[in-house]
Amino acid sequence: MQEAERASGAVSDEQLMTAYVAGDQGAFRELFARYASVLARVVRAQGASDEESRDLVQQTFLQLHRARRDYRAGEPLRPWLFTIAYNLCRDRWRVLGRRREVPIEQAPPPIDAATPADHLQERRRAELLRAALATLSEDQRRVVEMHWFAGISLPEVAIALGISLSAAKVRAHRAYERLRQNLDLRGEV
Amino acid sequence: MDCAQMRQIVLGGGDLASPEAQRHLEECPACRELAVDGGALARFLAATPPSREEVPTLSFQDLEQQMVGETGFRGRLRSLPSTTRWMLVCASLLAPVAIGLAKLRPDIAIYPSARLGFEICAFGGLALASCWFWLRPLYRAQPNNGVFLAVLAAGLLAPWVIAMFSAVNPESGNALGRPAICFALGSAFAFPVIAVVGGLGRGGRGISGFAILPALAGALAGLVGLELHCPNSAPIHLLTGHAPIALVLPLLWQRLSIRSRRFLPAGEKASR
Repeated sequence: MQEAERASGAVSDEQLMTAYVAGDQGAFRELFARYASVLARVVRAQGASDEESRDLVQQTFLQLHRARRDYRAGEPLRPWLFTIAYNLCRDRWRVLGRRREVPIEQAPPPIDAATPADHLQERRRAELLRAALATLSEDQRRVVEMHWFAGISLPEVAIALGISLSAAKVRAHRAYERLRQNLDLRGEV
Repeated sequence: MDCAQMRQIVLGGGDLASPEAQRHLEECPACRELAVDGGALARFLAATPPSREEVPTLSFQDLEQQMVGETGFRGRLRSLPSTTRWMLVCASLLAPVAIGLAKLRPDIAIYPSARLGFEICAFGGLALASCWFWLRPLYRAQPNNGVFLAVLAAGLLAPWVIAMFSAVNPESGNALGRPAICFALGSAFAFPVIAVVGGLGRGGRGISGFAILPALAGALAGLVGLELHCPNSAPIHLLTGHAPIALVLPLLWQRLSIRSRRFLPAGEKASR
């Protein structure tokens, strides 16, 4: 597989993973390039510091590397990556006895009166969403995060969480219901 | 129509009244909830990423450095397909059973078969459960921590509970017997299992108690071998020569693991 072909996005994640299993190291580099930032964002949303994010993302890819021979061609790869990342986060927070909080030093910067109105609105909405997500159970939050912010379809989310599609839909339904109630209170929806 | 198509309709303000859309909304509680208020929540979620904070710079070179450690024997073991890992683990678990059967206890004719079956199933089942947790790949959903702790507790306690069952033939010979020999024999049965199971783990789980799983599996497999071989069922003998295997080996393994981690580079520590 040619470098240009990989980087152009014409090659799917599943094709890259299959190539990597066959020995193409460049395919792994391309997967890292595609997903490292997304995973870091997801991990940061779980309350990780910069250093923890770096470490957890690296551990995610290391675990992917170790498990590469389990991969069957065509199997969706994104559920693998996000499940590994979530499992590593969960274990890390369990060991540290930490609940899902954003450390004070990482809290969003104070709203700057000089910031353009659309940035202000976006930041406020992000804060509201973060607060609303924090009211969900871990199961419900994962479904929303994986489906809406990591771009994973509900069937893939079900696979990643080891539950049936119906169970994933029920969790999504309860999460949406709760989000609507919490966001409604603020008149945002 | 599937959920992805419904989501596009909801986000695009499309026709929710169509027969196809209505049929899907009747069947799918998640899409039904998303469609409430004309899809306002869906549009909010689609337009609002939870964080636009800068993420730290991630270097593939750092990852490559960690992966250098994956090229050795240990790395190759970890990277074996899970089916192969399981086959090797099962073969190792069967070794003490084979040895126990080859040197079967002389009182097998009078020892209650139901009790023997229960003991072997208890130890064997808990050994298998320990291996299941140890080998479970991280790309699969992990079981509840409570289940893990229950299996761990059962594995550590079962040998002691079973040791307190009444002796089958209390009048025959010295009740205490030679517990040190049984301890040594059971441990010898366990060591190869510990080596195989431990070597095939992929690491990455730092939760309490996880590190002792290979030793617990080995100890329990060793106890299966002992149950098949040793004719002394007196509680005093089992409590001094058999049950301690399931305590001492996991503790020793825990200490060895902690010591060996001290000498590892930081990146390798995190991945163990």
